[in-house]
Amino acid sequence: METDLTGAEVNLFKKVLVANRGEIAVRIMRTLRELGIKSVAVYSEPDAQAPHVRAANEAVLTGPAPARESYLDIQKIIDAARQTGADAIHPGYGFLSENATFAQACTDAGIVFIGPTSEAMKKLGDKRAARETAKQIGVPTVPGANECDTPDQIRQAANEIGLPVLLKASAGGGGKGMRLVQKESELEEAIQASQREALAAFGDGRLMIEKFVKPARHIEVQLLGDTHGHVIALGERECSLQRRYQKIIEESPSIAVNSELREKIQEAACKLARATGYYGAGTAEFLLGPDGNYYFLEVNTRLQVEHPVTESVTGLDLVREQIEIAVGKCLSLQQPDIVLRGHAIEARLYAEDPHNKFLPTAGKILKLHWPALPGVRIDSGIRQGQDILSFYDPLLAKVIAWGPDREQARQRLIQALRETLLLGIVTNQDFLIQLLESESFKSGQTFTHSVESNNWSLINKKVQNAMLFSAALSLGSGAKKERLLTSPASATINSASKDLYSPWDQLGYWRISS
Amino acid sequence: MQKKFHLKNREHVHELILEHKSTQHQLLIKTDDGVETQLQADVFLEADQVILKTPDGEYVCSVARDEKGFWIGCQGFSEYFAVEHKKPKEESTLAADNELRAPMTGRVVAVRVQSGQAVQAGEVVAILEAMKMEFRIEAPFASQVIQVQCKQGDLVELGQTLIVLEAKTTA
Repeated sequence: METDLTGAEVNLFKKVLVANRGEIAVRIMRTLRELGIKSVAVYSEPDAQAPHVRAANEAVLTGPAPARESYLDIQKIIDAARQTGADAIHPGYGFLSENATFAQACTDAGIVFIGPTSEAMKKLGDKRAARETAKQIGVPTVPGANECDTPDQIRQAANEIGLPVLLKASAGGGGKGMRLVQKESELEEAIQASQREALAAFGDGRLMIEKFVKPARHIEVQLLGDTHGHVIALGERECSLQRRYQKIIEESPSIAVNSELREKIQEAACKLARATGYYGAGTAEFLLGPDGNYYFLEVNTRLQVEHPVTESVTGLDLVREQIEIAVGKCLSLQQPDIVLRGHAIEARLYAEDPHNKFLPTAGKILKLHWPALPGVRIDSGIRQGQDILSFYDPLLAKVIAWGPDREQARQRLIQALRETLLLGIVTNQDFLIQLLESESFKSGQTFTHSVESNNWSLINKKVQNAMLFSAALSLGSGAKKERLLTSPASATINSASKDLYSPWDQLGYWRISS
Repeated sequence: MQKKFHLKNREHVHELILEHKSTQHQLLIKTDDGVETQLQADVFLEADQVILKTPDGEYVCSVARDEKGFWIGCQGFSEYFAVEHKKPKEESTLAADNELRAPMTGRVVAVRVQSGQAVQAGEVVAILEAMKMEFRIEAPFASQVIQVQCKQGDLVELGQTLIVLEAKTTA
């Protein structure tokens, strides 16, 4: 039993089902443990041994690998909550987190959905509706058009706004359906491709069109609202560095936002939340143009992937806040209480190949070691020995560094990534280091097009030579290697090695000083 | 004592010649694009890591093996190196460079010559593709094609003979 500011006694949940997987499910369960709340995991068949299953007090199998038959199956998840006696469901991000039907289904089943009401979700989650709301309450939006259902309307809008323009799916985010059109000749194909992608991803082919702002920064405001009508903003995050329209590095605060601008965009974000009766955690996204003008883009009605940078500079636990809001507590903080301290940067470690168009990769994690360094936080959803499959989002973990200022946070993050050891699968680790080390990042010249417009050379010859040296030493040190190397048909490396993860069982004959 | 290995990453086949003199290890790396690098290092083994102290600095490498090669991590970089097994027979016939062999496992994209045809030194006789990269097979000297042992679309293994040449005797 706890009491809120008004002195009313509020019960926290006894058991919460986490309708997600990977790092975010593990992270949510950590807070549940802190609060003394039992956790329930749901999982698909290949995830039976996944870290989020191990982190939970109980786990329920919901179906086979494809997400729509497991993590996206509303009925199975509600059934799992009923079966385990969970009082509430935390949806994490992605999957069902912005699905108004799911939020409603939870409510109908007498289970608390940890997030906004399905109505608020509809009002703010649909980009088109959110922009209409923004216009009505005087929050600036990017010049563009919402009513773009037919190719004719899109062509007309493009003419009015002037190229370049950006096509987007009305129904969702994640870069799906997004197309940049710079020349008139590209428009036709872009409309078709964009509609196809939007239909495939969201079952909704509606598009919207907007002026392409360049060079632009992606700035977003973290919001918290309670069920008593209080809304506060927890500063901004800058998430300009993206590839395939998906963020890879995020930080708070933004180098481009001074206190005056912060106050303005925070107020704009809070106005949107108040106008729609929004409660829970949410994020209002803005584009910041080179002229200092800001334009509202959309609201994400859930916890964001990059929420740890805000947690680092505010000292708050956003999942704890979400839970307290969901049980009806008043926010314990008011706007003047929010102080941003220092600087935090997050890097997203993905199973993807920067040498090959950032396409997802798969494989088994043979070795995994995370650094323990001052100011460094790791939100990981993987373990050694785990098979990384291509069914789900390729995010493996997030590495977050805090420092008293941006430069110290940057240096700590680079060091943390250098000391991170992940073998067995191609990742973007070296690419992240290079991005963070680049002059443009160091000086804060981060824009939404930065990643795509740079030629990154990803090979460090000296390090590669050292790797070759190590491999040769490993090969050259075993008694069995002679047979191994001369007779490939009769002996493979694996057959000589009992433990797949330990390369050293053949090193017995090798002495440094001999 | 000298030891020789072949390791392949996504770009190159590396021939590695390892030599061991007291505490110092020397490594000659010959890459299939003709680049040669000589390295030397004091080597230390600590827990599951190889520590190399080179005139260039210190490198701490972690190694994980799988069926076909090594994953190696160092300073936030990681890469996979496949072990290339040279057949003993091939080792002994390496000198016979009238046989043009596949420099990597891949697919034959084009065969530019026919049996009996004369070729110039440096002439492209076949093109291989692997990892989305093309590799041109050139005649090392002016010669006559004796035998073509591959055709377009074939999947070939590293070291597999593709084309047999006979040097032109210029009297």
